[in-house]
Order: sequence, then structure tokens, then C-alpha cells
Amino acid sequence: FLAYAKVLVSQVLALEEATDDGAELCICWLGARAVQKVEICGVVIEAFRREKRLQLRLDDSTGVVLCVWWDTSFASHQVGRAAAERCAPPLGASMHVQGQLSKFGGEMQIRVENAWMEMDPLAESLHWVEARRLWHHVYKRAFRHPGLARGTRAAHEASTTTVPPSLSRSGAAVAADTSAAG
Amino acid sequence: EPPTVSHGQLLFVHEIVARGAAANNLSVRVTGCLRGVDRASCRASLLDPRVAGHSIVVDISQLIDQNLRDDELVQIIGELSIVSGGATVQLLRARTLRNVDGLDLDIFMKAVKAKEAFEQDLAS
Repeated sequence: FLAYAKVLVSQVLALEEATDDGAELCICWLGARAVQKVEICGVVIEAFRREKRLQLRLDDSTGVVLCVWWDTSFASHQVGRAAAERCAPPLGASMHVQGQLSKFGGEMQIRVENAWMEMDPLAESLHWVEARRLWHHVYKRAFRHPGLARGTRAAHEASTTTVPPSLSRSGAAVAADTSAAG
Repeated sequence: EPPTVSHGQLLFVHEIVARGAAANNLSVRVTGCLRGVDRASCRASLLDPRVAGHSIVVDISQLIDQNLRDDELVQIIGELSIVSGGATVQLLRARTLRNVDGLDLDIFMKAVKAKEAFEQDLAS
């Protein structure tokens, strides 16, 4: 939940909010997972300074998203540094952006927490492939706590050996519940 | 502020040429080799790096301050327009350009296909 989900911009723009409290910072459904932070990689097509913030629009060939980088936002390793105006990156530069989902004026945006220029021309392509892999293998699958999986296996094994009838029934019930939920 | 431009759809030079007039007003991202950079007329040609014999004309007036060299591999985002004169010409009005010299085109093509398949999965 606190990790940056690697996604395409088209996925960011299509996210459904998980809460309807109207808060600016969003928690959204990405497949079967609730996420609040994302990572994208795209080309800077607009960059301009506003009061106390830098606004970037990134295009990753699936969509365009506004990224807002406040002058006062720091990564944890930068605590203690004075706030400074961020310089706009050059148009056409490839950038990775990690940040928090937010909605303003009906538009999904990213409030930037970390951003860096990408010099490898293949990096954006690799991000697409990684986003696809993570979608199929992680995000669209329901989260299962590893401890619950082990408990289920142990309970199933216990139900096939000599055990008191009450434990056998509860072990079979847990196995049935988990397989029904899966 | 709402977005002012569409995202650049990933197309290759030979695909743009094949589309002809249907590509008019399309926002695209194209990878190709720059050739014949002419700062006086703000024009250059973009050659397909994999399919010989296909090229489009690029309007580089918005990129004139950048260091542009012949034969560099670049990725351009811009809008296509069809210019009719003696012959119909596809013109790419470039908004952004980045150098991608060293890009492994085989891996890039595979990644593009994987992305397109992913987008179709998401849409279905």
C-alpha cells in the first residue's frame, strides 16, 4: 500500500477512487489492490513554474498526466534542506516520477515525491514491460498474507491425520473457505 | 489546468506513410534518423530506422535552439498535418525531440508490442 505501483499513465487516468470523502489525496483501486502512490516514466511535454511549485506534464504514449512538484516536498533523505525553487527540466527529457495520487478539478494528478531524469533510451520501454508484468502477477490478484497460506496448509494436513474431531472439522472449514475465496 | 495536448501515439515512419491522409491531425511519437537538417527553412527529414525508403518531413521550428545533427536517432512528439502542393506531403510539426542514439531497436519493438497488448488487455 505504501510502495509506488509501477503503472502506465492510461492506468492512472482510469483509476477509480476507493473512498468518496472528497479528499484531495486519493486512495484508488488498481485491479484488486488499493494504492495511493504510483511510479510512471514518460517524456516531459510541458514544464512551467507556478507559485511555490513546478508543474510538469508527462507523456508516456498512453496518456498525458499532470505532475505537481511542490518546492517544500522532500524525500526522507533530504529532510533538513531549505526549500528551493526547482528548475524545469528540458522539454523532451525522459523522467521517472514517483508520487501520491491526487485529484484536483476532476483531473487525476500526481503529487511528486521523487523525480529523476532518465538517460537510458530503453528505460521507458522497460517500465512499460514491468508495469504489464506487475499488473498480471500482482495488482490484479487479491492480496494473500503468506501466514494465512501456511496456516491453511497446516490445517489441511492436520485434518488428514489422527486428530480430535473438532480440530479436523475446523481445519477442513478453513481450507474450504480459502479455496472458495480464491 | 486541463491538458492542452493529446498524448503522442507510438507510430513508426512506415506506418505514418502507409496511413496517408488518414494521419492528418494525429498526435504521434515517432522514432527515426534525422537527415538534411536545414535551419533556414526549419525543415528536416525523418527516416525510418528499420524499413528503408520511408521518410516524412519534420517542421523543426520549435526545436531550433536544440543541437540537431544529421544521422542521429531521435524520438519526436508532435502533430501530423497533410500539406497539399504539387504532391501531398505529410508534415510532422515537432513539439519535443530527444536523442535516443544507442536505442536497441529490436528490444524497443518488442516492448512496443508488449505495451500494445497490455493496453488491449486493459481495455477489454
